[in-house]
Amino acid sequence: MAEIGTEGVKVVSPKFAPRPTGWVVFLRTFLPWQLFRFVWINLKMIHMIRLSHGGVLPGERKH
Amino acid sequence: MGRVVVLGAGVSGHTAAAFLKKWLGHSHDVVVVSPKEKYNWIPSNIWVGVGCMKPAQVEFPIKPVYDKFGIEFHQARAVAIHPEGSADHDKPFVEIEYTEPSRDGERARLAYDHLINATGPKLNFGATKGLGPEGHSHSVCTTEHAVACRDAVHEAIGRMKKGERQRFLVGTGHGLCTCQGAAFEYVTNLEFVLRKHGVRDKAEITWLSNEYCLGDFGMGGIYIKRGGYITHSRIFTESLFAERGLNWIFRAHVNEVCEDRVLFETLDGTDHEEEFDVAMLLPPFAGVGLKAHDRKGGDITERLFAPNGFMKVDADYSAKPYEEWKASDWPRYYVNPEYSNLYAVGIAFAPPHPISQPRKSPRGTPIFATPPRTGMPSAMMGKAVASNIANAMLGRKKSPHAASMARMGAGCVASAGAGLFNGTAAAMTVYPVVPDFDAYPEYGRDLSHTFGEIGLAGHWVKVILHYMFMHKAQGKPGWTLIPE
Repeated sequence: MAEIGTEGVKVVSPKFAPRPTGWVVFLRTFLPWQLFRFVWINLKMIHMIRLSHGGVLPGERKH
Repeated sequence: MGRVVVLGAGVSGHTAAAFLKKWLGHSHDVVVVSPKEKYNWIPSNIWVGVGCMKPAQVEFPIKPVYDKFGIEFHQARAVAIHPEGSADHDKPFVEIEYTEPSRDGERARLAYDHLINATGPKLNFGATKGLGPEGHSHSVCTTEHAVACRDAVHEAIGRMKKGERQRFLVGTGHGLCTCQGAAFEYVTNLEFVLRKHGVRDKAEITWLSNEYCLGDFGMGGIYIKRGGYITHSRIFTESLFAERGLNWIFRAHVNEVCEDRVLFETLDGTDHEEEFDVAMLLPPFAGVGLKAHDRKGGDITERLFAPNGFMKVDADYSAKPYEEWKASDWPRYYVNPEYSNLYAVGIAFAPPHPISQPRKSPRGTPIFATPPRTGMPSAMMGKAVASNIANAMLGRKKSPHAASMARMGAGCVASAGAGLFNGTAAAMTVYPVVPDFDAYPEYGRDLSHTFGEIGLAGHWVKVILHYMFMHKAQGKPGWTLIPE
């Protein structure tokens, strides 16, 4: 099926989709950078878990 | 001495039961009813389905864990709830039917003071002709399904090694499916595994989904700040698919799965078909078919359950158009409005409405992603309800613990290939899960706590989470320190 890109039609090898640059792909498995991202992702997740356990949005009062 | 009965030993039910026993101690009984002998950490089934993990790594026998906790376990399925008791039974009770081989088919009544319905879903393969392991497609919803799927993939790899081309179809098998995230993980892991086996050039992989756009995931997608832009998760997902050479079909409702092709309708009302050699298509979910009866034996199922079989809780179920949906429609305490000692958590509670905008084809076929209620939110609901029940039973006058999906976030790490140094995963946080356009008028979510990125670090997080949650579920030392 050819690329059409309208709804419900199979999209094959799309030319419109953004693709990562070689640098971005390299960084995805570059250990020093990924070690830093590992720490950062964990901090983001811990913060989000703490917010979630509050049961209210930031600045909102508990009932 | 009081008694809490928990129906289901999945993420939400198991979390609720474990915390209830911890908080109630020996002063009250906690009983779990589950039709399965083993606990299954379902998020890792996708790795079993491609052969990166063995079944024993994602499941374990549950009874020894409950024996250790001091929880009574019945390997049985719940049949009916009698929230007012019956003429010959004063207390509320639940009727169960044993699935344990030595008592198979035997029925019993379990009286309760509080009942948590955490049965999870019925995998509704019957909604689409030919869908599922008994038809012509595979699934990764259970360990057994994932093993069968893995075997089919390995057979296909064998054929590709002999020079044959193979077509893989991955996604959703009905217009009202949820859990697109799991299918997304499966398709990217499948592509990764085919590369690892050196047969990627022989494979055509196609994603088929009921989502309005890629990256919807049943949450209307998410917006993230990236590279100086605020972009929708569609960009993120399309980029990954384009990079991996995956084809995609979206806005699709599968009408039938035949031996070598699916017949589907799209949102514009047109019919299509797609051929495959191996298909992994997730089923839609429905309630498990629990019945409910009043004291006189009258059927009150429709009062307690929504038409899709999920239990009604403290949500606003009034029918209203998409434009009028509010975050406050979503339940906070997961308690049934008619019976204050009856709760439903995880997939078992009836959501007030979807999160993604509902759409219908010109023929009236609903085609949109239904809301996810799994993983972290599911465990948090279980813990909140356990906390409220424990406080009530211990006579503590504390404010009830709320766990609205419109007030909690979710951390989602979607594997995109398993490898210690070459694996990747999309790590995402969403806050809140249900968008609140009153609090965040533009995007419905707090963009400072909503992010996503792909990389090896995400894969490490995913692996660590797997072992942490298996450790926690087995009640090993320090399990309470691991967050939901």
